[in-house]
Amino acid sequence: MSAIAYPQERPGLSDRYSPSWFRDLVRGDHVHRDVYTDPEIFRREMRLLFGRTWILVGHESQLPDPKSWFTARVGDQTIIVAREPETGRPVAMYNRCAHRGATVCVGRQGQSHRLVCPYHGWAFDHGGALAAVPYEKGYPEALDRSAYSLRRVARLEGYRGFLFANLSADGPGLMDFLGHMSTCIDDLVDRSPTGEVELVGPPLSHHYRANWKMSFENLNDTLHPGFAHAASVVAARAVESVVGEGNLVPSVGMMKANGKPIGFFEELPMVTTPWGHSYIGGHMGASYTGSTQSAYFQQLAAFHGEEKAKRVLAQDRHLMLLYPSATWHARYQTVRLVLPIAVDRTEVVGFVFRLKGAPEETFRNALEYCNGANSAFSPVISDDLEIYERCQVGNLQGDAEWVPMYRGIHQRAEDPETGRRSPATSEEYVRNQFAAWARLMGEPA
Amino acid sequence: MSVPVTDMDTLHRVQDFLYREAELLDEQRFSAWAELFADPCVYWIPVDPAVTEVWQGMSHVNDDRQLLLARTHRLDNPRVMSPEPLPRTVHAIANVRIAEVAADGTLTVKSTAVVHEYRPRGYGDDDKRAFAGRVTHRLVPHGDGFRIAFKRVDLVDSEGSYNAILVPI
Repeated sequence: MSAIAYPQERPGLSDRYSPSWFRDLVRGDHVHRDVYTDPEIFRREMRLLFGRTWILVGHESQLPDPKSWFTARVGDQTIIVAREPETGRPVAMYNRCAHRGATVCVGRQGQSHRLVCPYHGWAFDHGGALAAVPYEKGYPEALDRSAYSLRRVARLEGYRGFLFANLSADGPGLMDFLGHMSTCIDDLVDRSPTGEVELVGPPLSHHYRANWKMSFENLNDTLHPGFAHAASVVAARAVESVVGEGNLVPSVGMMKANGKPIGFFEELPMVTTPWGHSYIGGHMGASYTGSTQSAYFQQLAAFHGEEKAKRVLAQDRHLMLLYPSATWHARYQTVRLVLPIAVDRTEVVGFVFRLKGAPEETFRNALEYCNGANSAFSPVISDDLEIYERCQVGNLQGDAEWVPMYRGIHQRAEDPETGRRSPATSEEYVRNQFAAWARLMGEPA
Repeated sequence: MSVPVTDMDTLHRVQDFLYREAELLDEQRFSAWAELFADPCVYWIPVDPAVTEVWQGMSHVNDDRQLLLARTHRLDNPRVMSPEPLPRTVHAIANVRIAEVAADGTLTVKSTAVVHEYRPRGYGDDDKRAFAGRVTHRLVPHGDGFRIAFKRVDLVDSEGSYNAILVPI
């Protein structure tokens, strides 16, 4: 291969924030560090990236009846998702009263007959239509109620119960955007012996003082665990030396799994698909106890047929990254939303799902992973948060402006089914994310 | 199970035990802190204050004996990266009372914990945080003291989001 050179020139400074300038920040094997640190770039990402892609906002099980609603974030926008009264179909509205602009719904979710603004009592139905205005005769002429509904988000679509919002009416449909990644949603839902999954309890959230992209660039990085998580690998091995080999509880076993040699990860596949998505092969060695496994398989076989049930259980993908909004682990029934709060602040909201009808152990096993993968108290996650913050601060130092992302650039192969394949040790998923980033940020709005 | 007229001698011994637990955390003697727990044990910080069982939903912390040992071993390991330098804390324990005494001598103890934490990393005021929670201990008699069979901390903001927390609460 030809030598990769450190980019010598700066991105075209004369037309900063122009489409061509954004495209110039991504060089294929390097990215300019401003993408992590410049507040103006962050502000434009909210419109050009988060405002024009499909953002995962929630799951239909959050709307169990006509009175239910929940709130979600799409970039810097807060939305309300509820079932439109006429059709029962989930719809998304901006969380802004049509009168003085107060947020109508507060909190994560709720149940109410109407969505009522607390300021002057304007009441909206669950489709956003203005249903009642107290002291209506005080408003000149008859109020044209239709002009004062809660504004709808351009698009809300579901795939197998998962709800995605798009603030823009233009651009690809949900299924085109998901492409091969829809199989990652199948991977979770097909594990249910009733075909249904259900979100359980409040989410477990953490945050960090760094850019949202840090999460996406870390989660498929199989080289960092041996370094960043070394102390918990050593700790897990120390516990194993006390309790005996093979006797680790799942949560400690998962810590130990981070210590596998690089050669192991090199053998795992990495799949990258258009629009910045990716996943890598599973490596946690997950299993249920024998009796649970056989009972669960019987249930799945009764629902899917034996062939498909085998296929579903044989599927083993580790983290799936649905750029730019969510990360996924189907085997552990968890979905995390990555919420950009500011250029240097990000919140990660972790949800856990129950496979309706499956043995209880499948839920407990998911919790063992979810606690460790989502908690700020986690001996593993706390390392990652520290790393993100060091990268954020470090990228403001000195005059070295370019971040290399060339690991594995010589190891990739095209794959007609999935897009592109690489070893799981590659940074191909980062290059793939920035290709989508440059495409969206570099398009005239 | 009965609610006793508080035996002041037992209450003082319980208070002394809880203060000693807090002191071990503030002195960063994490493995010594883990030694205060019985085997088996549960150290639990739930997200949802309404749950009554550890496997009903996600938890900030849901440690059994093994996970507790792994957690404290990591903090005591000089190779540990993220708490470098280690946060310093003050655990202030208050409102201690014995809620229940079981026939086998197990005490259910309620208290409150206010924890002030300082992570000296150069972020100014952002490095100082406070946590507060209501704590339930189940203490089993052990020699002339106790062991912790169960500890649950209900943080006032348990459904909120946190940045990395290293020192147990």
